Amino acid sequence: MPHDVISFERLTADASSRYAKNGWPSSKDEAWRFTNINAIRSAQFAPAEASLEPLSSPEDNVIHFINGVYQPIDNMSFNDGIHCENLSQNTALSSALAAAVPDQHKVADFALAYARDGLAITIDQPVAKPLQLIFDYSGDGVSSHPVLVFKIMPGASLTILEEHKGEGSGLSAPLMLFCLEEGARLNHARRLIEADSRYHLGLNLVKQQAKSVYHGDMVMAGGDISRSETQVSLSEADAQSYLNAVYLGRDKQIRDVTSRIDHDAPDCQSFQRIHGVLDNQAKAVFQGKVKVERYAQKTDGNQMSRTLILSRQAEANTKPELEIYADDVTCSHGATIGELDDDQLFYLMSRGISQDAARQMLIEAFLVDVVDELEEPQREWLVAPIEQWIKSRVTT
Amino acid sequence: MPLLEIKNLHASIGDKPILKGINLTINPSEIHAIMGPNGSGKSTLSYVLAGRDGYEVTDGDICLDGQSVLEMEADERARAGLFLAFQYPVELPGVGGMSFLRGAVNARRIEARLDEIDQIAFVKTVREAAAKLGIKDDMLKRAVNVGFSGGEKKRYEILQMALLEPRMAILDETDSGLDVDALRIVSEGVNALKTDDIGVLVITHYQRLLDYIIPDHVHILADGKIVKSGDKTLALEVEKTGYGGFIDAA
Ligand SMILES: Nc1ncnc2c1ncn2[C@@H]1O[C@H](COP(=O)(O)OP(=O)(O)O)[C@@H](O)[C@H]1O
Ligand SMILES: [Mg+2]
Repeated sequence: MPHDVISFERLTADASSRYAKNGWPSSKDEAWRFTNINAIRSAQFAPAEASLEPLSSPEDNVIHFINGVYQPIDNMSFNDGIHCENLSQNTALSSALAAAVPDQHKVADFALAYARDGLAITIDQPVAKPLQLIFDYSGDGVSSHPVLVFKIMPGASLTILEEHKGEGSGLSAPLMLFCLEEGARLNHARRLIEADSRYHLGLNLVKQQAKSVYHGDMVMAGGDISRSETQVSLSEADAQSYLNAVYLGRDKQIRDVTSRIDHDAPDCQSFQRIHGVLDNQAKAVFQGKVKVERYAQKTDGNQMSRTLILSRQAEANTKPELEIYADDVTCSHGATIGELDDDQLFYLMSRGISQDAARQMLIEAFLVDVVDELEEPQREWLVAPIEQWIKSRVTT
Repeated sequence: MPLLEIKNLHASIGDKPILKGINLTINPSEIHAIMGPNGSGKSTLSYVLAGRDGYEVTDGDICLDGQSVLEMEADERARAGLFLAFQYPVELPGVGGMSFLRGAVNARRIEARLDEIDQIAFVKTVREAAAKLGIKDDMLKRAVNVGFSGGEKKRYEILQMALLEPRMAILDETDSGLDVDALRIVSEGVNALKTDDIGVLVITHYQRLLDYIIPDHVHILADGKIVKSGDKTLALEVEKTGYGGFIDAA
């Protein structure tokens, strides 16, 4: 996939002028119809300064970001198979990113417009120890713009544990591109556990070549407004993509899980499972588009969204969209929105379990279901914030 | 003192009266059977006793050990020693069997001011109780009732009963869906409960179960009322003549 050569500098400059011209998405943009970001639009954000904090103790395979800014690469240490550079010094990957960024994507433009530099990470063999990406945020009115491009070489594999946490009323706008070459595998576990005062607008782009496997598993538990968008393109045969998500919302929080999967080659599979729980007046949208090109025969595309509503004032919107041009495909989608099941609650209570405990058990079962089949350490790492959320919900 | 006293019990689901004045007294160590045609209100009675939401008691009282339970939620009644084996046990996807059983047993223990049960000792207790009921280890590891056959679900109800050691056990059509072998195993489980002070109420449509669990008293329920009571020979009479004659009598 040869691209025009575009430097990181040029990429950000172009994004900056597009952002100046187009600004923020509004409810008139179809993809943002259900996600009201007035609170973000009306706030004034200043892009994060370079970090002044001391560097954390160097451990293998850990990259620390303070308000989106990473420590000098020389201070990082990695296992064999992981190669990390500044994105400004890797024009192949900055060009790949330029080609991958969707047209007219206002959040991508915002993310890039203020990005200082990014990381270009190449994986050239199977790496056993997970790579941890720790995003720590703080301060009010600060916007964070981390940009990462991963290239997973043929036959290589990696597990990423990506965590977003921290305080303040800032906005995180991470932009990441994952290029999976033939037979590559990426396990990408993410947990969004920022303080309830924060905003998060993330974009993940996934480009898959033949026989590659992308396994994306996310728990979105924090933030006042949290949005995660993932765009996957399956451009060669026999690639598989899994997008699993758990979202948790309460008070007046907004949750948005948006996905787009392009089946551009035959014999590829995509599986999406999204389970959400909404309490109080929380609002959520899951919108998932699956597009199957004419030549993408034998596509298997599955999408299932289920939302559990704990309050009559909560609101869930689901917007599945299938656009299929091939005739020999298996595609399915489904969406349910419901309350806790009275029969199940009564059954548990008839065994002496209190109503609160019974509700907790059922909520946990519903959510953990999405990540239950994962290998460790991802499973436990994603279950923990789910349990935390359920506990805090009942005690407050 | 009677263990369970049902006094002039009237209950409705929504606006629909289902139970129309039931009187029944169960003393410690007695086994009572309630028989009745489909739709006569047997399951409704079991739910009302267990304290299910949506079932409104419009008149009368239910007393356990002399105390009215009407103001108690289902979980409180269970912790007070009431147990219902469901006619249709509910599947709980994602709720692991062991943690469910432990949660239930610990809820009762905490109420009785006992320490929570030791995890390892508990697994052993469950395995032993399960083995007696012909429940395979593999079933214990699965989510509650998920993928169980009809018969397996019924055995699992009896396992819960054995572990929870209730004061008063109500079995709603535990015999339906069981073959003869399973029926014998389940009945042994119930009979094992019959120590000095436990009461058992067996709800059934057929006489068959009562060959294995010998009742002290048999009651015929029709249209929300007990229309006849007698000893175990009443069950045999029903077997011969059907419910027709009793319903006319009502
Ligand atoms: N949820 C319900 N809503 C309305 N009517 C019900 C409900 N459940 C049961 N009934 C009615 O109550 C009556 C007794 O039902 P049930 O107690 O299940 O009988 P049984 O267990 O003896 O077969 C029947 O007429 C049935 O239709
Ligand atoms: Mg019934």
